[in-house]
Amino acid sequence: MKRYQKFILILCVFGITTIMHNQIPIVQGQAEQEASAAIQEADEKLTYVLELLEEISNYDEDIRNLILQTDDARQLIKEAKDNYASSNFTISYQKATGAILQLDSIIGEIDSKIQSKTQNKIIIFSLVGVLAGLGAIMFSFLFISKIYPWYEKKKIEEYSKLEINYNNSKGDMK
Amino acid sequence: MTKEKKSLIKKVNSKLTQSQVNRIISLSIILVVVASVIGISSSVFFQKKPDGFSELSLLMYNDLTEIFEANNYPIQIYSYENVSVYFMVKNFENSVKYYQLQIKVVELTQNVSSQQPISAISSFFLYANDTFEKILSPATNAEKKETGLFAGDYIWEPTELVLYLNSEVVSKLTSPNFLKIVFELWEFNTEKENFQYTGVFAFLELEY
Repeated sequence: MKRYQKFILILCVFGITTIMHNQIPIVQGQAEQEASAAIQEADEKLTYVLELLEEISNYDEDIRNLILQTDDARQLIKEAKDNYASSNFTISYQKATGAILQLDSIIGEIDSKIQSKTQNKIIIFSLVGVLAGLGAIMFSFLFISKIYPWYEKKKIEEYSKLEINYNNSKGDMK
Repeated sequence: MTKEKKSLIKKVNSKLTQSQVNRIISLSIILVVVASVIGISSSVFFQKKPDGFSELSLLMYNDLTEIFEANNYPIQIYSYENVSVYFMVKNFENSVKYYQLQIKVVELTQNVSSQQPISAISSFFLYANDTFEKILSPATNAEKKETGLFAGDYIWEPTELVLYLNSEVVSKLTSPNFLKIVFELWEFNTEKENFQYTGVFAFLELEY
């Protein structure tokens, strides 16, 4: 029985070693795929962030800080690519996901900034529009109530100054 | 109808047209007010960005004065001695820019153009395993007036480049004793999703 136990033990060790040996390339292949996908996603997000930043007209202090953070994320992506090229897939994946997280936070901040600026613009435009409308209405009201009656009055005054002389001999009007 | 009668009718008619003229004037004033409000608001809110530019400088570090200067550039490069130069980029464009610096070695006779980058066929890349990239904020109006600065959000601070004589590159050069190292500035185009040549370049002619 003891002889069989030894044989079974050797078989188990051999089996586990074989499984481990076959599993390592699978795990490595998965890590490579994950790292590659993460790098691609990070690259796409970086392009999107740049698109958002290009649309901004006023680069205030907050936006300039976000640009610095974007450059940090770019550096992380570069390191992820370098590690990928050196077959350090786990580190590459970590760097790429770090960049993705950073870029996601930047996208959130830019979106909220753009949204608040759009709201401010709408308020200002509405105010300008309302004021312009009010100005136009007031001018029309002034014209109808003051200027036009004054003009009519003046016209009548002017007409009243006119004299109509009849020339009996010719029957003509002067 | 006599002349006097005609003139009186004309007078009355002219008075009537004047009222119409007044109405037109008042309407025009309203239109002018509305148009000027729209004009002012559009000029405030839809400002057209003026054209900007990118600046690339090659600098040398003066150990004595401990400052960067656009002077005392190297004229020779030897296989046993590396040459250090510094490059600096300033973003005077009106939006964020993602820059890339490409360094190419070409024949001395090779023309460098702001229209077209040097093709890969006629050039050899240095630093194949290294890239120089940076995202920069645009300079503010106040920053655009400043000169002699080496640091800021809109500045890619002086970065050292160690130039070395690559025997493989040298073997491909046909012009003896002289080579040209060209520094081209590229920027990332978000629509095309790749780097495009900005037309900005600098070069060094070196004896080897």
